[in-house]
Amino acid sequence: MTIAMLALLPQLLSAGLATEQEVANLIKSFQPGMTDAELNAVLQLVISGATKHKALADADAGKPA
Amino acid sequence: MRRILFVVALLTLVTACASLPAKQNATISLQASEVALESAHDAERLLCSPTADPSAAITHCDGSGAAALGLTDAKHQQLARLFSTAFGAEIAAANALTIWRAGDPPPSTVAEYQRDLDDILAAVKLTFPSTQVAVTKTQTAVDEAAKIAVILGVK
Repeated sequence: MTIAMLALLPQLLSAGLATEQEVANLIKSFQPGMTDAELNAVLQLVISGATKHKALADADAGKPA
Repeated sequence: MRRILFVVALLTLVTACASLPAKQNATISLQASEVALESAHDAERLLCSPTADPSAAITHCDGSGAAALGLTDAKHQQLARLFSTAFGAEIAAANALTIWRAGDPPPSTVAEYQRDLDDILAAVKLTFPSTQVAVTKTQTAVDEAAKIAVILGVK
């Protein structure tokens, strides 16, 4: 289900075309991809890799650690 | 009343979910840019000194490839400073993206990261032929950072 389809659900509900339980089941089926927590875990990996390489670059440049 | 609350909750969920694709796409591009920049950095260090411990400081370029390309100790130090600045900006961009939500202004660190990458690309192009990994990977890092800027609406 796309975001656009998900946005139509309240209209289905208010028009009486779907019950609250049916709408709730549709919402559960919605998979937007990675969760915010998963994305933040990826960003932590980016930070970790960049930190390691920054330390090496600083050492090469003669900067104190 | 219960139905109204349910619809409000539903709209809140829709709005929250809608912010994820932008953050997801930006995160994926930032990760791709990071991987490419790491590869460029590794390639430059390997050219400088193929026999050095890759996890330790390299302050002297003794590789035959370095001599052939004119990668002097001074140039290696200059590139190291540029890489350090770019990795620092990338860390700041990743931290900013961690708390970024759709509708927020674009993090200024993304534009800063782009500028730092442009500086590295200009420097490696001056030092190495365009076919060298250090150049091609830096170009990839630049291209992925440009995608982030478009996704987040950086001017």
